[in-house]
Amino acid sequence: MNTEKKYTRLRETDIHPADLRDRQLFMQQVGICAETLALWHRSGMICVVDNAVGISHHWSITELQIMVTKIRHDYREWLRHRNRLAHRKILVVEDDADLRHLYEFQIQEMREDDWVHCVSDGAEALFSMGAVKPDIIICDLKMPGMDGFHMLDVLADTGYLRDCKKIIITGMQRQVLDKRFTLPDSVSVLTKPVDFDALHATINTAMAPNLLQREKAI
Amino acid sequence: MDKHRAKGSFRFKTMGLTFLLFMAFMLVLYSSSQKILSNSLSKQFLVQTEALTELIQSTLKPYVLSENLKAIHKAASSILAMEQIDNVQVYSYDTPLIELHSPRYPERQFGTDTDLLEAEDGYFDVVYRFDIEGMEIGKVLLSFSIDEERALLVDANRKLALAAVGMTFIAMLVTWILTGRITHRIQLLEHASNRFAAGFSDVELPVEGNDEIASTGRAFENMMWQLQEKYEALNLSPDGILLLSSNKRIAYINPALLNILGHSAENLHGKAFSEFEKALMSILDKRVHQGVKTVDALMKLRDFRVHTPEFKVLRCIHKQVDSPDGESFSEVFYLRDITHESEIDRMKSEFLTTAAHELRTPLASVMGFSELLMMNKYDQEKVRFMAETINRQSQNLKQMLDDLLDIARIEARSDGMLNLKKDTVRQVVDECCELIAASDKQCQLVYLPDEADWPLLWFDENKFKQALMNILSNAYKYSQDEGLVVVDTVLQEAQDGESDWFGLRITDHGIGMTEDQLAHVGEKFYRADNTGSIPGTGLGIALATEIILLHNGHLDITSQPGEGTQVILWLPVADTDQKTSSLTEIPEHTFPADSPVSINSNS
Repeated sequence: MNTEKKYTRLRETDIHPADLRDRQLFMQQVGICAETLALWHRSGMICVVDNAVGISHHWSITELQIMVTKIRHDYREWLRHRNRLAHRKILVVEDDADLRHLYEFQIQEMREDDWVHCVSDGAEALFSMGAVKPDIIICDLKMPGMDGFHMLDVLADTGYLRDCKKIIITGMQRQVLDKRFTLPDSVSVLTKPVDFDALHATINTAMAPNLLQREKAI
Repeated sequence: MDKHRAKGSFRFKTMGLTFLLFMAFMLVLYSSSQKILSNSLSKQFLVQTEALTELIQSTLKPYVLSENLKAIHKAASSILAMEQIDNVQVYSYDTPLIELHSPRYPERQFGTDTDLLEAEDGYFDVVYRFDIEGMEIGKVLLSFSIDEERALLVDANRKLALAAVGMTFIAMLVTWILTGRITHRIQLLEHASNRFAAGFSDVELPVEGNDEIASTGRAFENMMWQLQEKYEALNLSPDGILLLSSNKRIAYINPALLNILGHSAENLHGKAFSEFEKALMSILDKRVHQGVKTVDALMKLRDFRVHTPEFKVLRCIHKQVDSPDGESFSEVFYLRDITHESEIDRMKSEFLTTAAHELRTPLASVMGFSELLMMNKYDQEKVRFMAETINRQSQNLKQMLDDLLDIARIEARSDGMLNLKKDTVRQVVDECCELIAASDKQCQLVYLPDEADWPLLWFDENKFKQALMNILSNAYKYSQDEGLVVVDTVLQEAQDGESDWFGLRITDHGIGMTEDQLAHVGEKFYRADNTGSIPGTGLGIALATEIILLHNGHLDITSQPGEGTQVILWLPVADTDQKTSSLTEIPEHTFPADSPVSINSNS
């Protein structure tokens, strides 16, 4: 699904009445919970009016369904293949294709028990979060479409995945970043080119509570 | 201290001096002439009396001896008859024999005077003694009237005194007039200097005549001319200059500074410093410099921003000039407009930051994958995939660096001269089209050289080829497979007496650009499509623009999103008579407004 450059914040006036769907039905069809719906609403990718949901004409509900289903399917396949629980679920948001591969390979090397999913921009990342709630998000900041800043903003506002560890890996220098954007302390920042040892160390910290929580859920 | 002396004291001093000198001189003259006169009169008198001695000795002495009264009487009468003699007394031993007066002789004591001037009562007494072998046997006493002499003397004295005083006064008057003339002209000089110092340039100098004052006046004139020259130079300076006198008033403010201060300071000449301060504070950018209220505070900042209304960055330099007596000082404020420099600095650092950032991205992949390969064992397919990625990104890096260096070299003009030739570009275009048609991506290239116009142009073959290849490869990259790319030529007639223009037009029907993207195209490293699905460095159009600008041409880019892009490379048509191009000197290069400066602009 090609979401680049197609992200524009949706307003009520943008929705054609014919595109409105019943909220409950939508949630059921796509397979998301109410929190995820609120997240997507807050990010502007969908529009929620009373009991109706409208989505941008850039993608259809079918595409959404397919995407969400696919991710879930991937995950379950992975679980079955490994015959054990994924230690962590890591979501990588990065627009450069080569870097995406790099992350995939590197993280697989670090811990075989981790499941990695790579997406190319913030909008796709938000959709993926509905399918599989990651424990760690590694994201780039400058991306076409929805950039990292907006995505993190939305996550912070809605409090979605507040226990998730967010790691920012950016080409910008620290000073520039600090000037433009005040990040909450729970967010770690690493610069490109990526020092994978540092990444490994960052990932390993503060993992215990997440584990416990998930084990409880399952 | 000079201020406390009375004005015009030179004249008074000179007059006083003249007065004293003349008085002394006159006094000397007076007393010496008096002495001479009385001396000569005395001498004359003595001669007279000496003459009488003979007479008296010869006539009266025998009579006194013989005591012949009648004869003595007769002789005495005849002596008395002499004009000046008013009293005759004859004595024998100590007894008076005869005493004869003239009618006007008053009662008086007989005295013995030695000096003519000492005779105060108008008579001079002389004693003639008769001696026989040292023994006095009688004497004759005569009183001479010296009224005439005295009158003469007094008259002479009076005349002398009058003359002396008169002379003194005349001398003083002459001195007064002469010094007046001198000091007047000197005052003219002083007045003119003061006026000039106050900033007025219409001054009158005493330059008439041939004397010293005139030559001093001419020297002053010369000096003022020199000063005026310097003022003119200050007036021309684009930087602001302010001269503050010792009493804190604005002695001079140059037009550039008035311009900077704008309408808030119509004319600050001669006004107090606080007016300038007020004007400067009013144009200060308060957002950046909060709490800066005085020029002193401003001086602590190195540079400051002002709103004039366009933004400027100024640097203020302050210097103090002590007065000759060291008691006070005047100040010089120099406000330099460093907007351009600071903008250039900012653009440079921005460019470097962007360049570094862009170069980092491929590097991240190279480092990451190579690390993996080093540390772990992978299967053949994975290894190949990683190696291929490393290779691809390295190529990307190399291309970026090459493009950057090209641009830097061109901008620094260290590339040497353009290797110009006067020819049609037809062959170059042919070659480029062949090259691009041979590339991996297959597009429909429409190029019909025979149906196009090919005027003669001055161009550098290699560079032009580079620029054209950049544009063509862009056209191919952003077209769909089997997309249509058209290459043709356009001619534009000359306007305003300039040369005709030849345009090489490349049209593609690919994804095109939005207005926003079009606005940024040509910025170094700008990529309209940032996903990395279409390879590129973001420097292609920037490079082509540089090259075309060097050729005195320009680039026209138009685009419609979803429909395609059209790029026209405009070059000036060569004059058929010209043997050499005016381009052999690298033309005055104006950077496009939003492009940063090259890295080595000073090489």
